[in-house]
Amino acid sequence: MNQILDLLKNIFVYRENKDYEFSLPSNTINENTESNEVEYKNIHPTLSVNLEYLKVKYNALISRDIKFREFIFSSHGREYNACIVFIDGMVDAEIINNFILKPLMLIDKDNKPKTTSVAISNNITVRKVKKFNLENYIFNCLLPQNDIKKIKEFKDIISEINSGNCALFVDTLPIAFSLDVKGFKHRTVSVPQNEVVVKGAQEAFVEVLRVNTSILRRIINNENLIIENTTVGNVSKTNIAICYLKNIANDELVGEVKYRINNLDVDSIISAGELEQLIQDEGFTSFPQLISTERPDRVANLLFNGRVAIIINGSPYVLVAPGILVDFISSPEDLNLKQQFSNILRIIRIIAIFFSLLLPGIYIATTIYHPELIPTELLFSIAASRESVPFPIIFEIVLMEVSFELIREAGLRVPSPIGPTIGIVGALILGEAAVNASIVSPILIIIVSITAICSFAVPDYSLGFTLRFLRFIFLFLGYISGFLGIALGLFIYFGILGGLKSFGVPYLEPYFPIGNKDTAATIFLSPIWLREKRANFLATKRPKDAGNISMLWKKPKD
Amino acid sequence: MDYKKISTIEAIALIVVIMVNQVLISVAKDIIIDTASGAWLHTIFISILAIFLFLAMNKLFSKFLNLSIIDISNFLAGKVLKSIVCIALIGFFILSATIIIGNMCRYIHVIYLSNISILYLILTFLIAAIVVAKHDITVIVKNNLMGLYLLFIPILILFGVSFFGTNFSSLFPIFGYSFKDTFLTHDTNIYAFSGLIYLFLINPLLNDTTKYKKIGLISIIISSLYLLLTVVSLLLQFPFSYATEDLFSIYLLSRILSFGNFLERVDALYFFLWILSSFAYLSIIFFFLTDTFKQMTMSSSRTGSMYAFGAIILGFVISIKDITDLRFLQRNVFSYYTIALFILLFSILLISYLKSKKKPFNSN
Repeated sequence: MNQILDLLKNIFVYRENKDYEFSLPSNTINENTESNEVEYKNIHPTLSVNLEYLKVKYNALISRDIKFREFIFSSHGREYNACIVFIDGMVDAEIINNFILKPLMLIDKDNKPKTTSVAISNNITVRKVKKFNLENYIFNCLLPQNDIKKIKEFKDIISEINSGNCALFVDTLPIAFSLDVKGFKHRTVSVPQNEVVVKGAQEAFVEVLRVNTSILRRIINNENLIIENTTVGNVSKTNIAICYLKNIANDELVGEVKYRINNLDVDSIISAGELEQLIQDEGFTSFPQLISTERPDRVANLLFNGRVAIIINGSPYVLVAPGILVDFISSPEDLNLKQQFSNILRIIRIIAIFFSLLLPGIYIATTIYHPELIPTELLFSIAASRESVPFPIIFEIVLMEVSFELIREAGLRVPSPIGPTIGIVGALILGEAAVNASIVSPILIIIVSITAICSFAVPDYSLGFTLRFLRFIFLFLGYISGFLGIALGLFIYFGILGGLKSFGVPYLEPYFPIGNKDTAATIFLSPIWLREKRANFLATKRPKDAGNISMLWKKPKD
Repeated sequence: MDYKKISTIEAIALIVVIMVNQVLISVAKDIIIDTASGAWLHTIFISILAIFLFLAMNKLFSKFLNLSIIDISNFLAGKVLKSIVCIALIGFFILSATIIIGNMCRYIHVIYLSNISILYLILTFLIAAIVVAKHDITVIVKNNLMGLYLLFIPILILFGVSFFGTNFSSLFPIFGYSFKDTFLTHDTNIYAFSGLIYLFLINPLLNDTTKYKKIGLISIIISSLYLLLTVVSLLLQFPFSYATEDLFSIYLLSRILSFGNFLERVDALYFFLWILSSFAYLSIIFFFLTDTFKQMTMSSSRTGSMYAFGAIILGFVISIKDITDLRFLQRNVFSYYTIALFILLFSILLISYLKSKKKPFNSN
């Protein structure tokens, strides 16, 4: 009886929910608010003041990876309080021990000030000692470091500590020393994952800025390579390197890149993809406007052509400006092959782009509005294959396209050993089952498969995305008005492309408007010995890439 | 007025696309109706006439490099004449747009999309033109240049197919109905070269104005060749009476084209290319239309007027009942309007030239 009563109570009587529940308060703040903490601009001569300020800044009581190592060192008969500040895990402890603490702490305590002259007057001995400057003494004699900076402002020293350096504060000095002791673990240089080539170099950029710049330096091997550093992000202070060849790149192009990067008001940047979206010319178009590559040899090649590279700390992808359409249908492999093979590959890629963009749209337009285009036997075969399919053709094709996109997305997200299985299950088993169940026709499976294969042949990942997105638009246009709709789409598509610019360079260069084609920035490559010029549209300081006769050995001097 | 400049090749493409679209619609058919087997000779004759007219224009323009006929009219008689010229040009552009949209939409409606309201077809053309014409001239010429490559290959194929295995007797007698018909009576067919009107306006757009002569000559020669190929292809394939069919004759020609047993009919592909070409032509018309209006009213933007003119053209096209009305508009209104406009502009240019000889023109 009690059980029944309990049951009835549970059902009908209100009880307050006592389970743990968490919810965030609604946010009423629309603008960023600055903290009320006291901000010191300059480093104070008193060590304790500096340390107190830094401990508050870093929340040292909570963040336990911030290390403050206080010590005393003696010099010229005096003892000084000092402290080094660093982030555990980002520094090389060996360097700190051997090249900072050891020289400072184990310095000969008896080293007295050097006496330059002695005078005795009224039994009082007056010793003149050589003027002693502690700051210079530490800088010149006590720190055997190759990269050391004197810093006066807190914001700069904090930035240095955050980037993995060690800060040395000494009592009585209104400056701090920033010492390069970086020693964090990072991924080693490995083979490119997404831009694989057969005959090219087999190394890719990593996430560490200095490793990437060193790779570029090694390849370019020229003192004109300028690597300018800057930071982006009010909070993240992400290090960014702008690289260009001083004697080749156009100054205005370099200036424009720097201008855009230095005029960003964002809190954080953590990847090349984010920066790309912030500095590109047209924000709303889906076409890529900067080259994004993980290959150092490709970046080096583009720098030699007069472009500007942007390396972002923490991202293994490097951006190169400007990017034009031809760049996105070129593969790094093309320049390693003879021009005949490269051009054949490029023709294949153009066909792939055409099919990837238009094949489903053309299929739907021809089957609904222009069946006379299809050879009679093929038309019969298409009609027969669709006989048992109950859905309209648009539903059928959208279903298959969406399914394919789902399979692709699922294949990317699942752990790599399962990825191929998803593809096999999705494409083969589901496809065949769908045909057997008369949900889709076999010819449609062929159309969707060809489109998918073609989309994989597009060398640039961003352009591939654009084509995938536009494919659905052309599909819809083909469905509502056949070739008229596709013509409308293409016309507007070319209109958008025609109006697009990347860092002042028309997107369809060197074809529309017509520029010089004796360069590597063309769809069809001329033989390497005829690629004498750099692209006109880059307005480089060295317009010629090679001599009139690049193979001098063929014309020996008499 | 500051423009983004276009290169010589782009300028040639601009003029050629205008003239080729005139040919596509019905000029070739009109020429055959008027002159029968003498059509090809007539085509050569009016082409030579167009070249001479252009050479005269070029001579007169030598005093006014960088200036369009609108600036010249302002120089000659101030704002009144400038406004008259602008209104006359706006009328010409509206007529051109009405004819091209009217023709294309009705043909598409008859051939493929009879279940879709013609209003939607007209809107499709207007949207395409306005979206691209909102950009500057460089974008429009880039689209034209792409379209031009696509336009010439099909007509060469058509000509090739027509040329082989046909009876050349349809080209004779070479004077057609009579010598008078071929060379005198139907010289109004020179409206096929209505692109000459645009040559009055193109100077401020050119990168290198010294190439004006080259641009004009090459574009007229290319257009003449296109017209000649079309006329000859039609003559070789069809009897004269066939040209009176309502559908545009070059389409009928493409219908008979066959690549063996596999591709039996490729007319849809041809139509696809002609649609692209007419979009390009319309975007040019919209650019010059709104630019002329902008110069007349000294307004700061073209965008507002673009939609207004779009609505006006939509009204005109809808008000035309059928192909017969369109044919009347083209044959009896547009052709004479074009010739009258040419005479007006040429006269202004001539008088300005004479005036500038007495008192040199100062562009400041």
